[in-house]
Amino acid sequence: MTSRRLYNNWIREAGRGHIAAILSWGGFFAYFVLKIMALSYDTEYVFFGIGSGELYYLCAGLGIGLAFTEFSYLFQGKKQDFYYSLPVKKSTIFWSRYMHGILLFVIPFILTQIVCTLFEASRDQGFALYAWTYFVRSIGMFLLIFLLFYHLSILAVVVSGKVVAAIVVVMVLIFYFQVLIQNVLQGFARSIFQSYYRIPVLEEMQNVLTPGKLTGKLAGTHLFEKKEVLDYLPETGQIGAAIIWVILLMVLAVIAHRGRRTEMTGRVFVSSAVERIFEGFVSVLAGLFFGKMLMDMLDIIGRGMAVVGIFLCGAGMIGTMFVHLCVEWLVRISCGDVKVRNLASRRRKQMAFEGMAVCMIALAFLGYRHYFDYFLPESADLDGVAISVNGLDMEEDQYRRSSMNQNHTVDNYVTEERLKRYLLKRDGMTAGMEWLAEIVEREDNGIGNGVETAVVCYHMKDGSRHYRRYAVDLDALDAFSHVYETAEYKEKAYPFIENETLSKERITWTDGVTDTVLKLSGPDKCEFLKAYQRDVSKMKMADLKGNLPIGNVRIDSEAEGIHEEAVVYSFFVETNEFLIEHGIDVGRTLRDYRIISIKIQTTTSVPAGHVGGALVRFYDEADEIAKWAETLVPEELAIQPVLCPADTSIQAEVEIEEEDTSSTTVIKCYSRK
Amino acid sequence: MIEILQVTKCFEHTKALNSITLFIPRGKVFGLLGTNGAGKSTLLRVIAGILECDEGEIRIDGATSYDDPKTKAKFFYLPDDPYYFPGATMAQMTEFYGRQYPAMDKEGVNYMADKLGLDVRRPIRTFSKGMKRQAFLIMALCANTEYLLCDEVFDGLDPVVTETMKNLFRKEMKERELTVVVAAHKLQDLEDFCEEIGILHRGGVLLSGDMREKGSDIHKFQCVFDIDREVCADQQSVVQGEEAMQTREAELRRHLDIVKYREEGCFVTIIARGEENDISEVLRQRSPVFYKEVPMSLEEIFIAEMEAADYDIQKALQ
Repeated sequence: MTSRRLYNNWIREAGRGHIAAILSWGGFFAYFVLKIMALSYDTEYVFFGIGSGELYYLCAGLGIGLAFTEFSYLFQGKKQDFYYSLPVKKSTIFWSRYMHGILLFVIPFILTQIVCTLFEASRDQGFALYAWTYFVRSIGMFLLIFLLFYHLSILAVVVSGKVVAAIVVVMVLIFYFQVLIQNVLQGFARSIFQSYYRIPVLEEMQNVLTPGKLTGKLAGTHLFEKKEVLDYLPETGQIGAAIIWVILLMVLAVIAHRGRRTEMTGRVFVSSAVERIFEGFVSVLAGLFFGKMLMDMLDIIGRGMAVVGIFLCGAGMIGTMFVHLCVEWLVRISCGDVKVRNLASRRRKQMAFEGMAVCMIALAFLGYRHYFDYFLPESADLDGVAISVNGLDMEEDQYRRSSMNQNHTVDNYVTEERLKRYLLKRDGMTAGMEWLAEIVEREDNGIGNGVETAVVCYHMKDGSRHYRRYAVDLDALDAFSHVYETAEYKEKAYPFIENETLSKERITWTDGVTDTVLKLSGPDKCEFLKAYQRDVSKMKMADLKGNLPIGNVRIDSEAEGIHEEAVVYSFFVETNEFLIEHGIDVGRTLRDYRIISIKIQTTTSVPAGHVGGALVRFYDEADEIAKWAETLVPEELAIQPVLCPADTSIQAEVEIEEEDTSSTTVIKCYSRK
Repeated sequence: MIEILQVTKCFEHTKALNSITLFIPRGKVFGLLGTNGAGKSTLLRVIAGILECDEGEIRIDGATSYDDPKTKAKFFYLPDDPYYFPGATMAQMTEFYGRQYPAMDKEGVNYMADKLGLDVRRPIRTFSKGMKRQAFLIMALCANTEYLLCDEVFDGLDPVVTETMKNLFRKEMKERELTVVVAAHKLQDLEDFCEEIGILHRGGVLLSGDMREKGSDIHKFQCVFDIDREVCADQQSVVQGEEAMQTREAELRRHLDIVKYREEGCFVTIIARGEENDISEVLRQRSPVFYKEVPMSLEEIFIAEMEAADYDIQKALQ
C-alpha cells in the first residue's frame, strides 16, 4: 500500500519537465501554423501527414530531443542522487519519464493531425474521401518514426555517462549501417568485383538497418503525387522492420538501465561492456573505411590481388588501431588515466581481434571475387534473365545519362527501366544465357574492356536476384543478335507487335518534325498491325547498323490507356508500303521542310581546370541550311547510339516554318556521324 | 537501527569502501569522520540506496535500503550541495517533498523558516550557501523521517549558522527519536554534537563508537625534565644535553605504546596507550621535575588514532 501511494505520488511529480513540453508543444504549434497557412492556398502538393518531410524531421527530432530532456538526470550526478534518494524505485523513475516523453509527443501530434485533417477535408472534397484512412496511417507511421528515434536515443543516453558521448552514440546508431553498407561493403564490391552492378541483399539490409532510410520510407517522403500519398501504405516488411527496431532498442535500453551503475555518471560509457562494443564496432568500421579510401585514392586495385590483399589488411589494421586508441584515449580521459603506455596495453587482445576482423572482411571480398565475377546460374534455378545492353534501342539523351550514372545504380533509372522491360523467360532467356556464358567465360569480363556494357539481372526461382554488369566488345555485340532476333526479345523491344487487334485506337505518324493522324478503318488498322509485325519478325540486328528510323507510329487510346510507339525503319517494306498507300510521305526528311535558320552548338572537351569548349553558330543562308539539313537527324529518331551513333557533340535547333499554318517550330537535332 | 555489514564498494580500481561493518543505533547522532576521500560520502550514498554496494549489505530496521521505496521512506538524504528544481522556491520544494514523504510537516517548514528569516516564496537559487543549507535542513527535519543522512552539512558555514543548525537538530532530537548520521571531515563540526563517531580511513573503519569511551585507553601527560642532567634508568649512568633527550625518547618509546611524542626544550608532551598507572610509573622512573596527566579533547583522540594508523594528520587539519 505504501509502495503504491509512493508510486502514485512520484507519477504526479514526473509530469514536471518544462523544456520537454516547450520542445513538443512549441514544435507542433509551429508546424500546425505553417501547415494551415500552406494548406490555405495549396491542397494538391502540401501534405500534413504521410508525404510531409517537415513532419518527418519534427518527429525524428522530437524523438531525440525528448529522450535527451526526459532522461537528462542520468547525466547530472546531483539530480540523479536526488531522484535515487527519494522513496521511489529506479525503474519507476525510468518508466515515468519514458511515458511522460511519449505523452508529450502523442497529445500535440494527434491534436495537430485532427485539426489539419478537418481543415483539409473542409477545403478539398477529394481529400474528404481519404481523410480517415490518411489520418490513421499518418498517426501510425509517424508514431512509429517517433518511437524508433525515441528508443534509439534513450538507449544512447542510458549507456552513456556524458551528453556528448550520448550524442556520438546516437550518431553512430543512425549512421553506422549506412556507412558500413553504402561506403564500405558496396564500396568494396564496386572496387573489387569487376562485374558489380548492384547487390540487392546489401540494399535491402541498408534500407532496413539504416533508421533514416527506413523511417523515410514509412513517412513516404519520396512521394509527390497526391494520389500516391493518399493511397500510400509502406511495405509490410518495412513496417515490421521498424517495429523490430523499436522493440529491440527498448529491450536493450531497459537491460542497459538495469545494469547502469549510478557512479558511472560523468564517464564516457557506463560499463566496460558498452565500451568494448562501441570500441569494437567503430574501430572495425573505421579500419574498413580507411582501407577502402586509401585503396581508391592510390588506385591499388589494378596491381594484383595479392598486393590489394596485403594493402587492405595493412591499411585496415592501421585504421582500426588508430581509432581504437582514440576511443580508448577518450574513454580513459574521463577516468583521469591518460598514460600512453596504458592505452596501448589495455585491451590488446580486443584490438588484435578487431584488426583480424577487418582483414577477414577484406580478404573475404577478395576471395569471393572469382565466384562473383564468373557467376552464371544453372538454367534449372533460373526463372528469367533481364538484359540491358547500353546504347541499344535508346535515345541519345538516355544513353548519355545511363553512361554517366554507371556507378550509381539507384539513380540509373534508365537501366532499371530497361531491366524491367527486357525480362526474358522463354526463347530469349535461352539465347541470352548462351550469350552470357560466352561473355562470362572470357578471362577478363570487367567493364572498361569493351565498347559498351550490358547490365544483367538473373531472376532466380527462389525469388532472389543477382545483378552483373559485363563489358561488351564488338564481337559480343554482334553475337547479341542471337538474342535480339528471338521472338521474345522483339516483343519487349517492339511492344507494338504484341497487340492483336486495333479498332478504336488513334494512329499517328511522325517523322520527327510533324505529326500526321492516319485515317484508318478498323480493318485497316489490323492490316497495318500485321504488316508491322511481319516486318519486325523479319528484321535482323545487323540491319540496324547504319540505319536510323525514318519515323514513329504512335498508337493512343484514352479509353484503354494505351500509349505506345513503334519505330519504323526504311527496311520495313510492308509497313512503308501501307503508309504510302494511306498518304504518308515516308521519305520526307528535314531537307524537305522549309527551314528558316539553324543554330549549331559544337561542344569540344577541354582540359581540366578550363572552362568553355562550346561554340554556337547560326546559319540562315540557303546553301548553308541545305548542307546542314543533309546531316541532321531529329533527336526523336536518334535511337541507336551504338549501332548507328549520332554525333552528340553537334547539337542543333532547327527553326522550321509550317506552310499550312504560317507558324514556326523548333526541332532539336543531332548531326549524323 | 542501521546495520552496515561487510560493505565493499569499488569505483573502477579504487576501493572506496573496504569491507566496512558499522552499527548505528536508533535515536542517536552518529558522526562519520574522516579525511577527504576516506569514503564518508560514498558510505552515506550507499546507505541512502543511491549506490549499490558490491559486497555486503545495508539494513535499515532489518530491511535492505537499495531500491526499496518503503525503506527509503524512512530516511531523508541531505547531500552537501542539495539539488532543487530550477527556479524552485522553498515552498515548492516543500510541496514536492510533501508528496514523497507523507509525514512532511509543511506548517513546520513555514514556522522554522520564519524563525530563521528565510522567505519560502523566494527562489532557492537566490539564497546564500548558508541559507540554502538551513532551508534544506528545515525541510529534512520537517520530513519527519526516522533517519536523517547528512553529508558535510556544516562545511563552509560560519559559526553562527553552524550553531543555529545544530540547535535545529538538538530541538528535533528532543522532540522525537530521530537518528542522524552526519558525515564531516572536521572534528570541530561533530565534537559537541555527536554521541557516537565512526572514523573512516582509506575506505575502512578505523574505529567507531563513543569516542570518549574509546579515549579512556589513551592518556596525555605533560612532563618537565631537567635538560642538562638525565638519569638513565637502565644503565644507572648520567648522560648530557642532546644525547640525553634522544636517549630519553628512545627509552620511553621502548617502555610505552606512544601515539604522540612532542618535545619543546624541557617540556615534553606524551600521548600513550595503556593504563594510567603504568604510564605514570614509567615516567616517574625518569625522574621528571614535574609530570601530570591532562584531559584529552575529542580532536586529540581523533588525531592520535589517525597518526597511529600511519596517516599524515596534517592533511586532516588543513
